[in-house]
Amino acid sequence: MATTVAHIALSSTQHVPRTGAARRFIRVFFNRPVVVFGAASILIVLVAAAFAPWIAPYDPYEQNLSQVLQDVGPDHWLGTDTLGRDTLSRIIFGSRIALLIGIGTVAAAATVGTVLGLIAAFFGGWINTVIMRFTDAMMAVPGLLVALVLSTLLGSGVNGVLIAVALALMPGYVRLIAGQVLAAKQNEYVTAARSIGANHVALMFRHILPNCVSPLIVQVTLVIGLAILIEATLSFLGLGIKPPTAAWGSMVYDGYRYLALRPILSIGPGLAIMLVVFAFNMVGDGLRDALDPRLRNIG
Amino acid sequence: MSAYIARRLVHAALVVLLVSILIFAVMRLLPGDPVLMFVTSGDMLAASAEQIAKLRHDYGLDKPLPFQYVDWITHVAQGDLGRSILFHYSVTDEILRRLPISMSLGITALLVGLIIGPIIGAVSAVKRGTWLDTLLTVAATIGITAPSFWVAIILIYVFGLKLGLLPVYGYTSPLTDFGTSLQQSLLPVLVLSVFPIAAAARQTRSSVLEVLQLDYVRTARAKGLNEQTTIFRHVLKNALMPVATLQGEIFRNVIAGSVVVETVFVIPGMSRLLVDGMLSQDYAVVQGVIMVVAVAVVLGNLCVDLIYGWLDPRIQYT
Repeated sequence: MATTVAHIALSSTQHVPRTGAARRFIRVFFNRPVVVFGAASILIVLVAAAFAPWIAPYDPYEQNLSQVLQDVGPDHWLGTDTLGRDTLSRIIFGSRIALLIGIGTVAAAATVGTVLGLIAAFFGGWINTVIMRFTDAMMAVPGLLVALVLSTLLGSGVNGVLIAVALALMPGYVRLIAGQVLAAKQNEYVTAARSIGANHVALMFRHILPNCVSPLIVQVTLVIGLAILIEATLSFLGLGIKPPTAAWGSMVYDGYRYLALRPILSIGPGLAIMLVVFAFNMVGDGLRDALDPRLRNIG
Repeated sequence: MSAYIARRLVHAALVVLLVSILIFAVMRLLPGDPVLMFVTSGDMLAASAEQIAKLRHDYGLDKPLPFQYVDWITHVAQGDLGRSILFHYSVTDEILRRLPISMSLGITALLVGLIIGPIIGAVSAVKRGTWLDTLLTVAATIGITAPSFWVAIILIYVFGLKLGLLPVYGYTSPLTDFGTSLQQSLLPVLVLSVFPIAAAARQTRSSVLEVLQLDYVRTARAKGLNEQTTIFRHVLKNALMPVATLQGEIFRNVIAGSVVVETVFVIPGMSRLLVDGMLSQDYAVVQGVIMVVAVAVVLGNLCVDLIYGWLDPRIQYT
């Protein structure tokens, strides 16, 4: 409180350069080259997804049976598949599915998971027991298996995969937030807010939740990579996004049959998956270093 | 201690029971009908409505859902996971036949990770800031993020197709032909162990760096020990604790990885059974595999916690 008052007093009389949180954040975040590399990669993929029709040299769905399984060359930088479709164009369009699933599932999982975790830890008692035991049960089965069962039953396709992957990721957020809230609700300012008559909703969302935001941001970034990985694995197994939609996982599977002849058909989209997942992981790591002062000077 | 184990076992049983309710509900409430699948897949295309109804009755699928659940779970409690609707085999027998295959590959991969991962992590920490550290750290991150199916394909391409050194698919029991079995298992185990190695290496590196800042390490250095001895004799013991807690996550990851590995390398393991069961929506098969996985994960977590307490006497079981 005192510092805020002092700051306001100062800023009203003279210009004080901001040496606060934002600047430190930027300095720490861009300190490591791999994090910069990750951030740049994500930016490139975002641009590729947004402007795919203008960037891609060919229509990703246009079949050209006189140009099947072309080798890498000036016409087709990454060759063509069994239906004569341009691999590079399909990889560029595939970024749309990857980002849609990655960001969409994590947004849904983080929102629902946060609310459930908040409710569980805030109210405690039987509510906490019910939510946390179900979370334990969902986490007793690896996320890929949960997503695999659900996406098949929901009939695969983009919507099925979205729901399936989101549900598979959700329990992780419930646990993360419940742990954070348990710690945060011990703070004296929460007691103070309660004593001046703040209701449950205000306590939960205005006073406790903001304290849990840093780990949540880090987790969201890291898990986008995981979500893309799960979707790619489902599509590779033939239980995710169905052809002809350009999805990296199913492209790797399609190309696998021609591994000896045209390895690029599998290796190309696989590289794209790896790059994106790596990038989100690196940016997540960078965010953790920048947002969590306790972890500084380590590593 | 025994009270703690007893309580944990009760909790484990509760979790497994909840898993059984969830998987049963999910399989029944979502669209898809294994009986229709069976009818349309085989020689019963001309099946009459009565025949289909009889089939449903034979598998108890015409009873109300709660009754079906109670039927199923009482049998599961006695070790009977039901019968495959499509192929009529006993799910318990099939899983018992396939489980050793999945386990032998998975446990080997876990052990490889547990041995090689910490060594890489420790080397990385000792050489902090050098090109070797950068190389190992980036490699470990790639190891965590690389899709296992893609790693498998690259290995198949290099070792199978280009160099012709190793078989690229199949499974032979080590009891039948040990040499062939070893050759066929090399690539699958390698793919499965990428994540365990990488995850353990990353964790070891950061916890070694953390422990290095502790007072007792300063003491060790002050009395003139060189860096190597300090790290391997004094630091690593404490630094390996967080690696032990990581094993639960690594174990879950290996199970997930086995789904991919058993598909790519055509290994008749338990995870492959899940994919096949899912493709044909064979209720009993999917439910059976998920139950076995849940029991394995829950018991695995319990083991990790107990080992953790055994390694670190400061932890009190209350």
